[in-house]
Amino acid sequence: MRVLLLHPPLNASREVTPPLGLCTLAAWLRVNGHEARILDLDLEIKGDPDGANTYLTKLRTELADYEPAAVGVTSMYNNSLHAERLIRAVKAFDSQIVTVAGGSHFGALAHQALRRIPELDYAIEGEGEQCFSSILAALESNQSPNNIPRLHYRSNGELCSNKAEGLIDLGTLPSIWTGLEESIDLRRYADTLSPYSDPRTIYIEAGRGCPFACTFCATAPFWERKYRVKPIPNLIDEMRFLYEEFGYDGFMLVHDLLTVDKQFINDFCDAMMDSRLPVQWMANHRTDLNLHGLLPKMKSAGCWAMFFGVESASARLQAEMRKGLKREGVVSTITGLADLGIDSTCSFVIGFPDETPQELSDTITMGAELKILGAGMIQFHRLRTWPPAPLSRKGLRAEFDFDSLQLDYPFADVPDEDVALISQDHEFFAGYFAPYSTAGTFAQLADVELFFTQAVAAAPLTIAVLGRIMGQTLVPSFFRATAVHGCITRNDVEADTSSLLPIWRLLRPFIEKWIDSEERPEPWQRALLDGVIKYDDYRLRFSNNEELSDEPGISVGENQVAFMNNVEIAELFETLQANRQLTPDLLKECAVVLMRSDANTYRAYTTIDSIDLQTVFASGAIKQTTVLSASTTSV
Amino acid sequence: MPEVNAVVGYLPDAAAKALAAGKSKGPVEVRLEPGSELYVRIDPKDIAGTLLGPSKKGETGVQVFLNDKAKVETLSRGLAADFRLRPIKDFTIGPLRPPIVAIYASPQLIKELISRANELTRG
Repeated sequence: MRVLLLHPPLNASREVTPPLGLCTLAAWLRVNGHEARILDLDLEIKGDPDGANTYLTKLRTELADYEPAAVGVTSMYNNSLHAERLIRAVKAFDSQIVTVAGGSHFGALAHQALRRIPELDYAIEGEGEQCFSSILAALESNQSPNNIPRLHYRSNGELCSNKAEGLIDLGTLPSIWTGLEESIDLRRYADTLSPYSDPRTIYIEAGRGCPFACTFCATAPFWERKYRVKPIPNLIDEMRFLYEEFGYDGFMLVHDLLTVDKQFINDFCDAMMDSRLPVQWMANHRTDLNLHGLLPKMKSAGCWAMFFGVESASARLQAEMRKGLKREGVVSTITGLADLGIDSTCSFVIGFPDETPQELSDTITMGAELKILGAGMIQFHRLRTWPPAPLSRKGLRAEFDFDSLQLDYPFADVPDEDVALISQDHEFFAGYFAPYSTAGTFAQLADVELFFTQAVAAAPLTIAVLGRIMGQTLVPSFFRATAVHGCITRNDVEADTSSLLPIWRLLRPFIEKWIDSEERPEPWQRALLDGVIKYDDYRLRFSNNEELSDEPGISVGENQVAFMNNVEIAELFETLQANRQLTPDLLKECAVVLMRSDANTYRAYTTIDSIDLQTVFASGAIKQTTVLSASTTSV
Repeated sequence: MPEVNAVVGYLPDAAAKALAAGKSKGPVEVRLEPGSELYVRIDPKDIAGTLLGPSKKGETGVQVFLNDKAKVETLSRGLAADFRLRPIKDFTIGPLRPPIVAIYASPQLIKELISRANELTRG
């Protein structure tokens, strides 16, 4: 049977990676005797300013050209309205074409999708490959597909559902990239990468299923919490093919929690090292899964980064959301990775229904402190309750949240018509209905999400010190400041994303007004904050190659800058990294020296003795010579 | 759990192969990160064995396992220091790594791994 698989417009990113689920499905359908072509409308409309209107025209052109007997449509949560329009357009083009929907949204709300979209013939709950090929086999042999597991269908005007059972052995999946020439042009995806991309990154599926049961998580129940991985030789073959044919050398190993099975990771590292492939990879990990001595091996086998859901600093919320992470485990994991030069991203969820502003304050401060300990990126995300997450079934009181929709929407502008359609269907578009939280209003939590994600990225030292000083009053104080001064907006941030410097320039005036309006900091704490703001300011300006000039208190050389500061910055970093209390002793006049030894290699120092800048320069401290330091470490 | 100590970093391809084959002469300087100017200098007599990873842009990922009581020297090239400066451990400036990491694995297992890697290198 001839099948056209549709990927709706997804986002505004210029770099596009192949739609992984559809590529896997296309390969599966082909080895099961069907013809499959993928129409990736996300790729097709890139660079088209009128893409929001032309994607349906492109679909009709493809339908006329390919003449499929069936069309499969996938959707993420953010593009399901566009997926719905594609289904309607297919039936309007030719009512004889069979329409099938699946993927993370339709696959989680299969019954609701059929009810909402009369033009949809079948919806597949959860894992799609086996069910889809069984539908096609049944239709080809003129049999009813109505007994196929996972299938949702119509019968005599009624909506019917079959039990979702039977997960495939991932070892039976065919090699998904090598046989796709007639389904998709992978070269077009590789060509979307910037010539400066390093590594050249692509997603590949390493496996499915996380055995944990976090209440906010939709993907673990989607894959029925059963941990499965692809055979290691298949993964190596996929990487080798994509590296050799298209130059991809960075692989995001898609799996909810790949590191559950330490033996798998060990064997995978052995295979990577044996393969000698000059590539890097990253994977999801949990901070309470102890990989012991595997981390150095992972580093040597090309692991460049790991992603963690830390979620909250609150032990109460950790228990309530059934995550159960402990702060000390998070800290030791991030420190251990930093020691090995493995990058880490830590994600936090904010706005749980009964979260307090005090708990949220602790979470923000923890995020900034993890960055000080070496985490690469800290993300704060507002809670959303997408089905089938356990929390989505709790009937939490929620309200349509336009900001969440705008954030995810595939195009820059959200038409009023789409806002109306989405806001009228709470059950189907549950993720755009934010649950009420005692941590703050929707607008306040949106401000927290935006401001602190940017602030921790640009000036982690400032936010960590601010968090330490304000303690659990950080967020209530932030709300007071935003009520008076307003907050930065997403448009402000997106106006110039060339570096963190323009973002810092947005943040700094607000932070200074915020601190000035607070009564809480004692004089020494205010002085400390002045010193860290100054440090972050010069660091960002220097590392972003801004022209600095000599003026009182600052001395500028070709590849170095030195400035006087009232805070012993090196001691402050070590204080935070050792989780010690901030004290007035940190206020110590010294010079901070920032150096650049090539385009992307920087160093920062403070002078140990109190000294003026001219003495620093006269000493030759920041002249280039061969060796700065040599120290001995014993086993 | 048994523990061995190692320097985890990068060597030029030829130096990595020579080291794995036991043909290295003079001190070995392992770069901690590609492009970084931080090196760890190891005396060959302190090296118990080497495990090679993939090579990229002329540098091979290595784990250099150390003998008991080994000493390594950390070198930071490129900048001056006849003055007392204290490094700021700010990860937004660049990676900061200790020269030696502990690896929790049986020394016998490490020997087997090294032996297998050497066979592959020779092959």
